[in-house]
Amino acid sequence: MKKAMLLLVLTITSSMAVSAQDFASRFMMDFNKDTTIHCQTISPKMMERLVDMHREKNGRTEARQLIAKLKSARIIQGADKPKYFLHAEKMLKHNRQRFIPLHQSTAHGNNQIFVRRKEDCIIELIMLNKDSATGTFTIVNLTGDMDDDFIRILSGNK
Amino acid sequence: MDYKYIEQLLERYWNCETTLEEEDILRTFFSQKEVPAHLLRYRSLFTYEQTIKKAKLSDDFDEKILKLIESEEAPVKARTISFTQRLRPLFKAAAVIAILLTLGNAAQHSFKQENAQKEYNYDHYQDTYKDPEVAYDQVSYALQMVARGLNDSVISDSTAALSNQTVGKDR
Repeated sequence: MKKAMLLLVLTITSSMAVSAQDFASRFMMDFNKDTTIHCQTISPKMMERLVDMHREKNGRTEARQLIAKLKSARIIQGADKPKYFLHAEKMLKHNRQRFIPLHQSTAHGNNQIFVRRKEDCIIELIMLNKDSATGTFTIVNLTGDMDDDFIRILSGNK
Repeated sequence: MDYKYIEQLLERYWNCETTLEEEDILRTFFSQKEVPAHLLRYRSLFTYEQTIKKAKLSDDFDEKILKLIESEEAPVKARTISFTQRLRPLFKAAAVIAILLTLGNAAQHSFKQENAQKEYNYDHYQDTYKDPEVAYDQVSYALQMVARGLNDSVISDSTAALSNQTVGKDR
């Protein structure tokens, strides 16, 4: 009985410890020696502080709604080198069962948005942006419990 | 009084060189009533056998032991096990299963509630900004980027649709 309980506890603990990494973490692991690319992180703790800050200030409802649905945000920025975009694209295509394309456009440079869904929620959103005019490459990686309302507010279709 | 001979014998005794006769001399010497103070510590070693010989069990020893054994013997009683007692292990097993099911349900419920929280490991996340205002600006920037990306696609999709329509009309 004791052995069975120990096994159960160990299984639960190990399954929780082996939680997946987000896209930005994986991307940065591949370019960890590259000093020209930077990753900015807003952790879940900071995100909670932002929600509280907004509540105290009675800030814009839409912004508060959006931030409340986020757990973390990571922004990777670097010079517009083709290798970054191609590598990110390759990673997303390699995990096409995990990341589904949401939008793609070439209106202002190359812009691609992918999402990872779990049941009705979008738990991860990745945007790749290659802006040839400014010569910058950006990845926006959001995690949280984002729903279709979140996308609707962002795209301006209320 | 000079005890040089005894001391010599003792020395030989420690070196295991004494004969049986010499050891008898030592035993006789130490069994005396008066033994010099500096040799007194060896007395028990040579009088040990005599002391042991004197120790004897008392006559009523056997009787005492037998009585003791008899008094400790517990009477064997027939025990009746009721139906509830018989089912007790089954109740225990059912209780364990109920606890496990409850825990499982609770865990599943919390997993469902916080999808992203459990999906990703945020432990290694280190905030780039300590100031919430700056962090807020960065989140706003990220959201604006995504919004622009989404709107771009809407525009490009509608532009593509319009151009398709125009092409269709031309034909």
